[in-house]
Amino acid sequence: MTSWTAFDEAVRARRRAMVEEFIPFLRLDTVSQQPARVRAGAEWLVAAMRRCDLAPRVLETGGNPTVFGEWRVPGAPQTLLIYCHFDVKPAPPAAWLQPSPFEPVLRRGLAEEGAPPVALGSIADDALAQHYLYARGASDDKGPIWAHLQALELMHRLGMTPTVNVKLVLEGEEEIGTRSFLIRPQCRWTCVS
Amino acid sequence: MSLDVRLVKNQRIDKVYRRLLDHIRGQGFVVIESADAPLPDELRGRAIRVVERHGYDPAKTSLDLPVAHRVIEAVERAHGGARAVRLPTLGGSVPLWAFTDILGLPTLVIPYANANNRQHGPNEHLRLDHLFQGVRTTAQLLMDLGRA
Repeated sequence: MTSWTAFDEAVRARRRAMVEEFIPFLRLDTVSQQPARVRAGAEWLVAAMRRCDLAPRVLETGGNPTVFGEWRVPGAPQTLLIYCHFDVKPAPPAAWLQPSPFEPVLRRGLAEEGAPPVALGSIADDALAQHYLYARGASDDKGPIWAHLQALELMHRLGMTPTVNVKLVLEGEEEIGTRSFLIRPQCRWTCVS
Repeated sequence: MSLDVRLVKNQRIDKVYRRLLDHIRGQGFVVIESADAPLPDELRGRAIRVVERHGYDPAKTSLDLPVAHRVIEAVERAHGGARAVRLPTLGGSVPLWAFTDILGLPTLVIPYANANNRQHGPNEHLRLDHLFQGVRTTAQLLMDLGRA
C-alpha cells in the first residue's frame, strides 16, 4: 500500500521550495509567437525533467518544439500519457495589476478586489495554500506541468514506483493551434506510441 | 474580427468551415480566402477576407468507460473522497483529437487550476492550494491507475 502520509508530509515540507522553483519558469515569456523564447522554455523544462530522471528530449516539429520525457516501469503493461503545453498567450502588461505578467506576484486574495502583493518571504508555510500566484501561464498551463513534475520528483525521492509507464508530452504551440506538431506526418506521435 | 466555432463529436472542421463560408456568402458577401490577395475595387465593402484559419476536429471520450471510472476514483481519493465534478464535454481548444483519433486512446481532461483563474486574460493566476493538491492528484493517478 502506498504511504500517503509520507507523501503528503513531503509535499507539505516542500511547499515553499515548490513556489520558489516555479517562479523562474513563469519568468520565461514563452509567448507562442516568439520562437526563441518558447525554445528557452523547452530548455528550462529539459533541465527540470532531467532532475526527475525523465530522460527528457526536445522533439523538433518544424515550429516551436515539444518536450518529451518518460518513466518506464518494468512490468507495467499500461501507459499514461500526460499532455500539457508550455507556450502561453500574449500578455499586454497594460491591463495587469502588476508591472509585468512575467514577474510573478503573490496575493492573498484577488487582485481585482484590491488584495495587495505580498512578498513570498513574509508568508508562513501554512498560509501559502491560501495565496494566489499571479503570472501569465500560472494556470494555463505551466502550473499543471509543475504539479506533474513535482509529483514525479517526490515519488522518485520517496521510492514510490508508478503502476503505469508515464510519458509526458509538453507542447510549445498549443496556443496557436498546434499547427506544426500534428500537421507534419513524420511528427505524428511516433515518438510517444 | 475573429469567429470561434466550438465543434462537438461527429462534426468535422473542414465541413463546418465550408458551411460557415456558405452562410457568409448567403448574406451577400464575397469571400476571399487569402490574407494577401488584392481586393478589387468593385468588391470594396462587400467582401470578407479570411486572414487566418486554424483548428482541428473535436474529441470525445465517454465517462462510462472503465478507465474513466478509474481516473475519477483516483481523483476523488486524492481529494479525500470528495465527489469529482464530471463534465461530459468541455468547450475549448486542446488538440485532443490527436490522442483519440490518431492514437485511438481514451483521453480525459483533469483541470488543476482554480475555476476563476482568468487564463488568456489579464491577471491570470493560480491558487497555490490547487498547485499542492495537483501534486497529490498526479501521484495518486500514477499509483492507482495500473493497480489490478
